[in-house]
Amino acid sequence: MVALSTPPPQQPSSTTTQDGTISTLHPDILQTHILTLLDGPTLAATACASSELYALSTEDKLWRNICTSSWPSINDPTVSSIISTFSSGHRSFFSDSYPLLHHHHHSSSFLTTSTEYLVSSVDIYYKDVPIFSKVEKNETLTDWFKCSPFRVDLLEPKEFVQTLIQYQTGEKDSFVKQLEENMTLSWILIDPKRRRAMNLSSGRPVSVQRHWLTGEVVVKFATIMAGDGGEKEFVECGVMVCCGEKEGGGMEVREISMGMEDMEGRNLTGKESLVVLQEAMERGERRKGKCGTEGKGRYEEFVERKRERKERKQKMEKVLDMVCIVTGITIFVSSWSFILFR
Amino acid sequence: MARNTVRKEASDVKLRKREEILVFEGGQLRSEVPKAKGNLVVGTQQSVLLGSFGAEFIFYHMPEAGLAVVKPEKIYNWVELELLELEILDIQCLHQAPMHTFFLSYYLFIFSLKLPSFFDFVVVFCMKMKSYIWLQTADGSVQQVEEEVAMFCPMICREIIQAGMGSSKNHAISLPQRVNPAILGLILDYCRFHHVPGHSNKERKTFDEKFIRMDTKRLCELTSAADSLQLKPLVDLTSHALARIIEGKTPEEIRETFHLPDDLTEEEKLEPLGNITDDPRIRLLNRLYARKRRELREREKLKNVDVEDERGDNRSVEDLLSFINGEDGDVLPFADSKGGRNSKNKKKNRRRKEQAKDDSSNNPNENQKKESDTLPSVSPNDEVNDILAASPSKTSYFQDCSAVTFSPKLDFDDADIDDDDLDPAMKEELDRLIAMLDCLHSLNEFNLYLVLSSISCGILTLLKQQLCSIANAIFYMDNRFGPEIM
Repeated sequence: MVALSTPPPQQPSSTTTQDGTISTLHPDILQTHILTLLDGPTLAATACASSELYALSTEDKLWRNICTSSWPSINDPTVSSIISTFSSGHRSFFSDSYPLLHHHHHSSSFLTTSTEYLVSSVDIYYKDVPIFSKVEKNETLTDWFKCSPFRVDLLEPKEFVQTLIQYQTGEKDSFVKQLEENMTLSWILIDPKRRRAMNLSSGRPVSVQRHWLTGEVVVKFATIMAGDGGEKEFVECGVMVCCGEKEGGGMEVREISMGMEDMEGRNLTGKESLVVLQEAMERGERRKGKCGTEGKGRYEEFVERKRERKERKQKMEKVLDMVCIVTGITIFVSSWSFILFR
Repeated sequence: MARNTVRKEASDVKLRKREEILVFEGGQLRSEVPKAKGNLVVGTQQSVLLGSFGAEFIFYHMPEAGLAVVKPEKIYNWVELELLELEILDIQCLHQAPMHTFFLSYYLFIFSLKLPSFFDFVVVFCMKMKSYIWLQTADGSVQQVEEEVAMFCPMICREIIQAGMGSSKNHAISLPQRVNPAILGLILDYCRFHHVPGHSNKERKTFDEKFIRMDTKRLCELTSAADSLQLKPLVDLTSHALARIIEGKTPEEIRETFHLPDDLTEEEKLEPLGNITDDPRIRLLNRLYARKRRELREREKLKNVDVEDERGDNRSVEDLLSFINGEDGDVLPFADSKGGRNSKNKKKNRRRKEQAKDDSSNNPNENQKKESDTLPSVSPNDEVNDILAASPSKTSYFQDCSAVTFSPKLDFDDADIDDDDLDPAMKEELDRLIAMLDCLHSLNEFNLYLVLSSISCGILTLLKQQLCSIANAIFYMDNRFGPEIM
């Protein structure tokens, strides 16, 4: 708080012209007391209200507080150095990463730039309390990356993350429901070269299922993006969190991974995924989700489309089969009749 | 009575009172500045009998001078003055008369006199209780406020203690400029409630919530005033209330609530959406805004439009229809900024012409000549009526139509927008969209209906053919292979 030891100097214009509006407030009061209490979207709205408020609301310090309180993993030095290269610092980072990504249309004229690496900043929350944060860097230049299926793993094979969540062993379904309602994830992919970021997670999980073999609960968060067309018309970018039970009833996170799948269920290679991701980052609309289930709605739409596509394909194949059989029979019959009745 | 070290405040106060003499005469105590030593001074002052302490002293309360303790005998002059300090925590046991508005949690300062034995002595208590502080607001009005209420504000407290102000009307404490009398009243209400230690937290919270209920203008004034007086709890309370008001509002609502001017450019407003230089949709939006601004400016300049613009409009309709039907994909002259204007005068002229019926008959004839294959020969009015209902959807189709193949030559003269980093295909697409939107803007109602009606007819016939073929194919396939597939 700004402590004024002597009575403040006279404010010449503000008190006489617009009495009692927010402009009579000393800018220090506004900044230190009021703007620090606002959350991200409200602060963005305040910045659009008038030029005075714009100047006050675009302080990087305010936005940095908001970002670090939303995503604790931002505090990592790699990430903070990249964010400082963004056009308006934390403010543009927040506007890129906070809303949900909507990317429906693919334009063929998109030019990809080669980035050396991609940074993933991941936070998992349970009941809005962060339980796990990690920053991972993936290089994207080597051939191995380009040809192999795109996959980002956060935990080592035997590395587990202990949490304080209690595993309810009573009914098997109650734990699944508990996770579905309370667990949220934020996976922010940052492209340092293009200086953009995007949030790949759907906020709330799109599906929570128990794995048939291991008995672990797999929580899936997915975003749908537009791809090239054909079987890559829509691409699903899914984050899988596998949680298992520990002795003693606690829950531990065993695997956190991200992968890209097309409509056939095939994993995209590194090169293809990079194209899709970069386009989504540049051209994707960021829309504020009205309720938490928008991401799930879109995922279900995607699943529905996949199913329809599969059915259509099967139908076509059947038709094709019939046509081939008929053609074959016709040729057979005609050739025999030709031979017999010559 | 014990002698203790002198407190700083006491000495300050004492200094003020040093010159005064209390005289007890005829049941009344008087306070007066002595003219000369040895004289008897006369004056009158009201005093209230409070009670007695032991058998020796009688307490009197005087409004200006404080508490006085006297022996009921006359005195003639001072010999010596000594300061004593006596803490009376509970004066209830000391007095018998009712106390009116007393808060005796302060220290009593006792001046004792060492008088020669043949003089009686007067003991004066100078007590800081229920004394008033004078406050002066920026507009000159002076108010009297109970001291303990005013002491809740650190600034006033400091002024009293360090500068010794506020004890009388002439030495009133001048408050900062942002504090006007109405707001001062509110602040004092707040202080009056909160400085009493007896209220529970719940009571304080309820009081605060009720206190905050005022319009935003008052709330802002209150925040400024509280901040200038450094009253931190009130500043926190009002800031939280303002933050709660701002939360969840759109920029327009915020502007409305606080009466702010809308003085940001569109680009600045759109900035949070991302990099505006890269996102083509944002650039399109900016272009349209810039164009609209330009149009408005030009409309202002040229208020009266001539009939010669009608020709430009006619041509635009024909060309428009021609490009829709794919006949000649050539230059559209309408893209010039002057021709693209959509002023009311043009519409009026157009309507007059409609009534005259000379040009109106021309237009449909010309149109029908061009679209002989698609347009049924119905009078334009009927078409308009039929298609009127469907026009909104058709408009949207029109806007999204990127399948139309033509390359207009656009006359863009907003040089401020940098097109360099847009790749050509994207630019073409954008240009197409802009041209179409431009068309809509430049057409007046009549032309619009014509265009839309003709488009819709064309579309319907095309679709019909295709739908028929598809339906046939499906039907055929179903018939042949239906049972086998299922």
